[in-house]
Amino acid sequence: MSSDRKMGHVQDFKVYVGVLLALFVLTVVTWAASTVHFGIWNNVIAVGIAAIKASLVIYFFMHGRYEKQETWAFIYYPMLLMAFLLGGLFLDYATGSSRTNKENYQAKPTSITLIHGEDKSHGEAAPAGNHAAPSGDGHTAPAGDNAAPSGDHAAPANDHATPAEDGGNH
Amino acid sequence: MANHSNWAPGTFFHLHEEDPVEEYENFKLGMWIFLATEVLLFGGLFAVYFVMKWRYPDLFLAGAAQLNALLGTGNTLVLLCSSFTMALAVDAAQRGQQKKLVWNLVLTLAFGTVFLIIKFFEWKAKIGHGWFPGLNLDIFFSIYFMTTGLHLLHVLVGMSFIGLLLYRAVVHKRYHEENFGGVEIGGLYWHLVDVIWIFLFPLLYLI
Repeated sequence: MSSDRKMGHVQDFKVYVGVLLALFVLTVVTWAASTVHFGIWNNVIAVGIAAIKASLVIYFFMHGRYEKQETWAFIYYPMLLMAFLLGGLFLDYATGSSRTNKENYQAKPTSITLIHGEDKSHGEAAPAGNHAAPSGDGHTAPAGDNAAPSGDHAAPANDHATPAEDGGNH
Repeated sequence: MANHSNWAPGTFFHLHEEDPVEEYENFKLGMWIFLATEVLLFGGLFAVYFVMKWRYPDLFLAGAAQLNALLGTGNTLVLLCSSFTMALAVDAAQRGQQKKLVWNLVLTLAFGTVFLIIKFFEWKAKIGHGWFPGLNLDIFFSIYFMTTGLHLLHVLVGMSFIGLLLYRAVVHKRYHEENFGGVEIGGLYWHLVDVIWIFLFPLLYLI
């Protein structure tokens, strides 16, 4: 920084053209790699090639090659944080730490809210489900009374309590 | 308009005397720091993408099959070209070549416009199917609209920035060998938009 007091550096035109061609080629390589099935490695390959392309853009197009260390610190630090985040998630999911959850969620892959609703009504104990019911749909609670007896034994008792609770609240 | 007569030409705030080279360096460093925060903003969305993909692999396969990979590839090439012309615009400013600067800025804007047009037809097809954010969307298309939408916003901001550069280059002849920081800052932002798309494209359209 002390040696040259120049503003920026110029690159040869050929460098820009070469980088553009390399980016084109790597785009084709990305597409070609995606047509072959490597399982989870398809993700790794796609992100890896994208990282190479991004590096080319940063290094040559953004003149990263002429930047000083202070600037590079701000290039590395988001990359480091991203590596921690994605690496941590990958370890968590790849080692199966979250597999018990995964099986619950896998069943109905339409939308998040729907799945949470399903989980509550089926998977969890009656009290939690019944607490959710009156707050969720207040006016359908009487209809729930008719349907409830066909369910389990705990449900009718709680459903009788539901109108009372409603009355108390209002 | 404020009286600029006592300002050094082409500087942004110039609240106190500073060595022009140092000012230029700091100007650029500020942009790099901002870009770091942008990476983290999109990084969160990428994390969501991978977690959801792990949970619903079939949904993501089906979703990616619905996207038009040809349009996605076309948009990738268009953005790469725009990055190329933007880099050439910075190069022209550094060399003080006014004509080349203006034409490369115009070309960059043109490529950005082509990107917007392709994106418009792509989204139109999706919305024609009734897939619209907030309406009956599965998680893949929620992520698709969120990431490409946020990226689209960045394209618009970048194009406004380039439009401003173009105006200043044509009307004020503001950029030359001694002062090209503004063009370089705009270039950095535009290249980041390209870099984000480089990651979005394979993840959404191809795998």
